Amino acid sequence: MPNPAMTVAEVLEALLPLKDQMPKLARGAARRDRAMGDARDGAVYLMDDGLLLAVQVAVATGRPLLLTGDPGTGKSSLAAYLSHRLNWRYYEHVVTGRTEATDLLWQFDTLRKLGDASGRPGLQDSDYVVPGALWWALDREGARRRGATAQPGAENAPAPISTTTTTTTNSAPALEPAADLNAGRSAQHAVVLIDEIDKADPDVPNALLVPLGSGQFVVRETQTAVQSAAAGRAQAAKGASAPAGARAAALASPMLVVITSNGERELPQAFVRRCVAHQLDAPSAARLEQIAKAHAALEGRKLDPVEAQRVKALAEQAVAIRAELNALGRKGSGTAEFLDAVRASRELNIGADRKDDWNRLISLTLRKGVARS
Amino acid sequence: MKRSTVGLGDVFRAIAAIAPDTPARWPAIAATLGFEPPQADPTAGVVRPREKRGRRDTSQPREIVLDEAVARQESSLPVLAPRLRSASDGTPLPFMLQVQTLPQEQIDPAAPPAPRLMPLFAPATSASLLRATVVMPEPRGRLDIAAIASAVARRRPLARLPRLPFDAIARDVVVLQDLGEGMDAFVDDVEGFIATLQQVTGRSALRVGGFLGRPAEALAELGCHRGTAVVVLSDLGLGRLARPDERGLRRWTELADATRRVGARVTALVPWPATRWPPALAACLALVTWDRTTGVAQVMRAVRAHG
Repeated sequence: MPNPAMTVAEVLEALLPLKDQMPKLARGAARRDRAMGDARDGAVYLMDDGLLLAVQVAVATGRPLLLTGDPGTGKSSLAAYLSHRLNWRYYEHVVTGRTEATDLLWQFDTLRKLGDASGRPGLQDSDYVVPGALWWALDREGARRRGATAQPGAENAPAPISTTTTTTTNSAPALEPAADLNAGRSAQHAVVLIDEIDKADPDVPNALLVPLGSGQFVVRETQTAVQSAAAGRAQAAKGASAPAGARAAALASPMLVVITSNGERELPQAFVRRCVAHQLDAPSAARLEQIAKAHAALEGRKLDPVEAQRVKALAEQAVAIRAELNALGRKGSGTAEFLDAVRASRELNIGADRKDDWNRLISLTLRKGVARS
Repeated sequence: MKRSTVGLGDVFRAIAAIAPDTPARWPAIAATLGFEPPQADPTAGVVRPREKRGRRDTSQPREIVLDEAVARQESSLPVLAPRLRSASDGTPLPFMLQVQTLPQEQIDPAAPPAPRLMPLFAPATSASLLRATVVMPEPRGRLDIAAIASAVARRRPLARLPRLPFDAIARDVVVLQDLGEGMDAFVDDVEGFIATLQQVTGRSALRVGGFLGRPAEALAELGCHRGTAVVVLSDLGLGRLARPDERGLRRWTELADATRRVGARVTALVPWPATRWPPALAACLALVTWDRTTGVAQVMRAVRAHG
């Protein structure tokens, strides 16, 4: 097995250096395209002490990490960063008002089944199962087979960590989300981002309590029992030798679930009480400057004195405008908007000396057209 | 199998795994799991009485006007309550009354403020009750296989895929707040209701308006459409009169008709027991007793009975 399952201690050790870690100056192919907008590639993130501790506690307890805070405080980008740094697979599901809890586990394509009913006989119910983000994280091989066990001799037969049980099939494997990104990453662990859960009906978080807590669920249409690799390992450890059993017991959860909420609507207490909750505060001006430097490093360059001066001025403006908008009961601009302002300032060579253009730039990127009070 | 809520076991597990350099980090780990650090203040956690509200200056006589026409009409009702209208709008008044007010209360600034009244809905169940009030059946549930099979078997064309109803919080919720004097005693409850409802529906889905006697007009101003959940917070006039008069009843039926026409639903929360509700109103509106004894099942029954 190329990358064995990590223990909790190994994950915590891997997390330790991430505190306030600035990326190295990227060179050659490692350089990121400077035209990139709202980057979600997980290449850069500045984690403060409080957030690092929250991640550590979530890993140690095996509970989901619930991140709250205003838009632009870095809630959603943390999951991609952690998966990048830990070399774990990454799956995400952006929640909307129409999301149902089962969407994160699986979907069943009833329409296609209806369409196939007369023209393509011989297909099984599992052929219409579309695995969701949590299924991919819990049991990648089982998800690939849509819950069916592989037939002897089939090309996708090896399924070392799958514990899913159902009927056999020859159907086409399900397409893994972000397959290119996940290709070289750990088969044992994954980071799952459940973004903006506050948009969902309150029943959705409650319905996720069982699959998140137990790492297992049953696909209704096919009666497939999906179980996490960890649950399978725990069963195997019972009959193993003492050292092997101890290591199995110390293994980290197969998935780290990061859930974000903008606080649009209060989450059910039963759900919150099962999570490690952390509030992300809006970054200070100094923090914004650090973030701009980190992104420049990823583009393979250092800030020159002129640009550093502009970044400092824009960071101060961003914080002042945020306070002003908050006083009006509106949400202030976040880190992404600040980075847009920095990029625009550099690309268009607009500094504070060009007062009109500078003010327009701030209005377009940070103030978003809201008039000065 | 549901995993239990975060407990001390999680704290011990996290401390053991993270092994912080110093025990001073333990409270931070516990705080991440929702445990609060010990309070130095021995009175912390004690419910403090709320601050005093501003009081109207009662030392000055208040000008009021007796609306003769209304008084004449209402004289036939069991309780005679002359309608008082403030003269502050500058309209000419038929006659003036000087009201002798009681001497102003002597308020001891050092005295503790009056304790807060218990809210009408228990805080623990308030969110569930409010959610039940604003859920709407939406045709976006799972496919109704039985209906599809039935149509296919009868060779009927399926113009629209039948779906099972799915109860979801309405995407548009309108709260109509009765500003009549009968609701004065429930101002705190109305404020608390709206704040809690905002957490349930989300800020963007909630609109609030007030009305004096004519709820249908207030709703027309705010607008409502198919799928809007309209919630009325009102005493239905029962606080002032034993029974609303015919005109009062007509105003409520106008509201019920207006919402039914567009495919919206109206639910009224009434801080009076069901025994006092006019039967005519109970037939056309989903009425819910706004009281601590009210349960989610009662709300669901009332709401479903009116679509």
